[in-house]
Amino acid sequence: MELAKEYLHLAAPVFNIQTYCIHDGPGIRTTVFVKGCPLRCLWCANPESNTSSPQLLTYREKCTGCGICAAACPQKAIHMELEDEKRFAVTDRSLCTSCGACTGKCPSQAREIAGKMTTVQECLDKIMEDKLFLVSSGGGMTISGGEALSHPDFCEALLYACHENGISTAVESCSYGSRDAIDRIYRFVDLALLDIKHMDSAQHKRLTGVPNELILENIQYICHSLGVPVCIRIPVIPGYNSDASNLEATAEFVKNKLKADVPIHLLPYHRLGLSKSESLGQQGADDIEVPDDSFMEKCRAVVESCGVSAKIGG
Amino acid sequence: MNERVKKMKDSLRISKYPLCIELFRLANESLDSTAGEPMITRRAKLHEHILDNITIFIEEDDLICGSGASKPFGMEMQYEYGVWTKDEVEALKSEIYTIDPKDEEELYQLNERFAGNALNSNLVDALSQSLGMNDRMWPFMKSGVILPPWKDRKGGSGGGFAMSGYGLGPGFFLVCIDYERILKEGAKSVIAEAEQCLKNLRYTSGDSIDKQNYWEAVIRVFKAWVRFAGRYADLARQMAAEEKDEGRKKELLEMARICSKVPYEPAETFPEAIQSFWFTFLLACPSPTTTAGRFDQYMYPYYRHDIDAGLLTDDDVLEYLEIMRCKTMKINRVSGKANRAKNSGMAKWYNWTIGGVDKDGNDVTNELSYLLLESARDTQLPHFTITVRVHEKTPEKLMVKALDVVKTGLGMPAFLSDKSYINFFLEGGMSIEDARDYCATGCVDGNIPAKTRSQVVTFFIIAQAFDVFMHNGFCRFTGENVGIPTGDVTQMKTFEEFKDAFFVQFDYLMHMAAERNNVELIAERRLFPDPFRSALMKNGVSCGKDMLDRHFDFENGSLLGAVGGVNTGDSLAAVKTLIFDQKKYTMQELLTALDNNWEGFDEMHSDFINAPKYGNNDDLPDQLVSEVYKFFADTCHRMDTAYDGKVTPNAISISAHQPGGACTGATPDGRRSGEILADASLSPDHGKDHNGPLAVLLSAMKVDQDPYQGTLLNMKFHPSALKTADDEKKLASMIKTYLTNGGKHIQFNVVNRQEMTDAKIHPEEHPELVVRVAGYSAYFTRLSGAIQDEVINRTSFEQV
Repeated sequence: MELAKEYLHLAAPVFNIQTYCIHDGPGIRTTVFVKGCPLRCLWCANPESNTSSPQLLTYREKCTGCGICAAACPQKAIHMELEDEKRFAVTDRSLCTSCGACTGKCPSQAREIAGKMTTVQECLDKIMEDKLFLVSSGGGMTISGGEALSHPDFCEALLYACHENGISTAVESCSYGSRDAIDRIYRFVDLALLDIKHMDSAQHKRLTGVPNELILENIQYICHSLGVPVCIRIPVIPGYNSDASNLEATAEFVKNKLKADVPIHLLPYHRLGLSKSESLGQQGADDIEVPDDSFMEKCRAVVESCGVSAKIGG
Repeated sequence: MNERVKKMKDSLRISKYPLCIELFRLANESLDSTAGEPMITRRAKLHEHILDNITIFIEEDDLICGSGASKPFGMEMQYEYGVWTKDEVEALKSEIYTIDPKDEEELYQLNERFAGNALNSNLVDALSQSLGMNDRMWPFMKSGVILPPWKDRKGGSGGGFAMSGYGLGPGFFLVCIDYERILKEGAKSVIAEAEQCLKNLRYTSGDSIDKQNYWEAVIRVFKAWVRFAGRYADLARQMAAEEKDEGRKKELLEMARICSKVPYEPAETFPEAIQSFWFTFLLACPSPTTTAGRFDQYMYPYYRHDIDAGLLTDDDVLEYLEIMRCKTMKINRVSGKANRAKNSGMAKWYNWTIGGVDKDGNDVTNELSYLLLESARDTQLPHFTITVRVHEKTPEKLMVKALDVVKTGLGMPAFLSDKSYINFFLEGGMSIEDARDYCATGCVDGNIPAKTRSQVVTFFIIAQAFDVFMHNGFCRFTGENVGIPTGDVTQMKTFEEFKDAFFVQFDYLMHMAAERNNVELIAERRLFPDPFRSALMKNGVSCGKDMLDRHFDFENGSLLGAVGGVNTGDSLAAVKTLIFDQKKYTMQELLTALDNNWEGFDEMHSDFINAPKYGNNDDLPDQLVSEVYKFFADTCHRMDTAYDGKVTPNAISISAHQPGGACTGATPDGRRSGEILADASLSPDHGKDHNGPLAVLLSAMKVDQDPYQGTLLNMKFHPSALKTADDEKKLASMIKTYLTNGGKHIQFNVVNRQEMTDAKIHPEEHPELVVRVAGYSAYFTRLSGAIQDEVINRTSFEQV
């Protein structure tokens, strides 16, 4: 498994490089979000990461109704609408090609293109700016998404480059990918943060669009065959996967099929992703209840009663 | 909080603060009878007269004697700094202050009766004669390059001061007096030392008489102080005799016992020590900037003693600390209208320093450090301020405890870098052992207890100096020349030429600011000797000199505070980028746009706003800001002070960025005329940082902060970044990394409901606000309205 010679020039669609991330692994981290995901979770928090191609985001709260974007659009996909005596730019998504002509012109940063082909070198430069803080806090770099396994060449190179430069690495993944991609990526991963969204395959397919057999298999492979430290994450979605039987089944899987010391992180559902759906002109699931602290505590108690250590939050 | 503290805290909610005239009356009575005597003698007699006669009282449930004014919550009108005229008093009454009608009437009579007495008018006279009447200085005094801009030749004292505390004013000097000596040796050791000095005195030198006067003054004041404590002992005994409640009677008798012992005798127990400390603290006030120094260090032996002997529990100690908090809340001050604008509200900085290292460099965090933090978290009272000294080995536990306080929204504690402060004192020639003993005085100004003193006289508005430079020495605020001609900027060929010419103007104006400082130092030395605080400096008795009349090992008499350095650096970056590098605009176009306050230059304005800005870890603006601060520091080090040292650079804006901005015209960083300047000294300009907290710190770390007495960096976090202990540990690591790699100070505000609501309405002003929930971060301003509301409702908690 040789890395490409010019590995620093490999590129992937990246939609965000976020600094001072405190919930994506130990310490302070810089998180690189790659775009493109094989799953379509109903509650997706980063819907702008679904496709690999660039996507236009619009922020209605910031729009001042000046109309500069409408004039700039080569597809004539933007028109102005009046609502509550305020003018807003409205984009016809069927015409929009996400070319970005409008975003640079917007004086109030109300329009943005998510996703830009970014090289390993560019990511590394950004990560290295914060090296002092990453290292001293016991943190590092995390690849999130989207899905890392969808960009094995790029992720492998980025992870390797981080190690070469003394930066610890983690990957947040749904584990839905090929064995080859896993082999290449995980040899440079210090911590795997792996999602299990549902233990029942049929439910999993209903909620995410894919069954879970491959996922559970890959997680065991990463944990046992590759020996990578693993942390299991359950996005707690009330009414979808938060019932005691699913939580217990997940805990049992961790205890029996992974290792006794693998912890479970329970990530409470939040609605912030809905904003992004709106910005993308999509309809998100807006009927999911946000779990409160006592609900999360109950979930934690269920997992811990199975003898697995659990923590609320990342 | 226990019931007693809860009650005391509840009693703090009052709507009007009384202004008192007793101290003003007593001071003037004394001055009236001492005309012609040496100033040190007059001041000592005045102090004695106050301590012997001012009304005292013990409040319900209190365990520590001493309140700071003749009425509860009162502020005594001061005699040193301006007369309270009817006009000023009326203005106060329209705000949150009140005055007894009889007192008000008497005040005006006193004003007239003692018109020639008030030392205060001497200070104002001294300033106005040297600064207001001087044709060279007068245009400068009005210009807004330093604050406050004078409106008439009489100067900008802007009315009087009223404060709590029984010390001598005006108290603008920042010192940490030797509390430890009083606790360990008692006032009797000071009196005995002065008596011995008098006994040994031989009239063999020119200053023999001055020394005699000084020692007599010290004895007079310390004896009066002991009698003052005795008055509390008598009062407590008398109240005990009348008290029905047996529990309270016992408390009062114990207070009486303690007050008849300390401060004269050394303290032996924690209650004795805290009473002795409080009496000392009250005589170091009135000053809005009195420090308690390293309270957790010098109080620790008494804590240890009582805990080990089973006399007290941690809960008992916490109660004393919380009572001390409630009492500090009542130590207030108010100034005249003009000064109220400069330091908003009842600004005060009573600073307790915790943590840090000992003389050998070992961490000294102890149980009291934690209990002090707990007293703030538990009571949710903003005063006294707590400052945490941070070094490589500061326990994570202490940092997390401090952040527990931060996240309640109190805005403190602040965190200081041992490394940068120690370097500051080492560069000034102090020994490593002394340097390691520094504490925060004022808000973050470092001083070494009993060994250094400093005075912040004025703030220097760098952005205004830049504006004067842009107009070749002309001040747009006053419409007259204030600087020297440094050339027509439109004729400058290169950025280097432009920048160098700015530094010439900058240098010229800074030297005038130093002169203004000196005039005040000279006047204060002459007018305001203070035997009490002077005796509690290192060798303070034996040297035979007032502390303003001494040359200290680290001569730090005068500080000059830099304000608007970031706006200036950003302005230089915009000029370099858009005029000299890209040549998108000409200098003439820029001048025209600035003179029109950007009106009618929308696209150009947007380009200048979007030019590279400090706070994003972008080298161009960061290096220019860094150069501005380096030039400021180097220039200070070249300027003489009246106390035979060099000016020390300081960079704490307090709230001066507001009035400073109000004087300053439009600047090339895109700021409009009159708008506020960047806050603190190393915080990015408001809303100009887009790359997260680490980029801000990395920008600040490029500035050499060690030569500064203090720097400020304020950072805001959304409560979601501090939700769990794990979050706090990560923030603690960030703070420590900053403070051990060039940073000097950092403090945090937690975003509150109003700010989020404002961010919803004005997203352009809050681009940096990030919401963090498990595994997810989002810019607040990019959330939809409904979700924003949800975040506001779910995460905000109001300050209690």
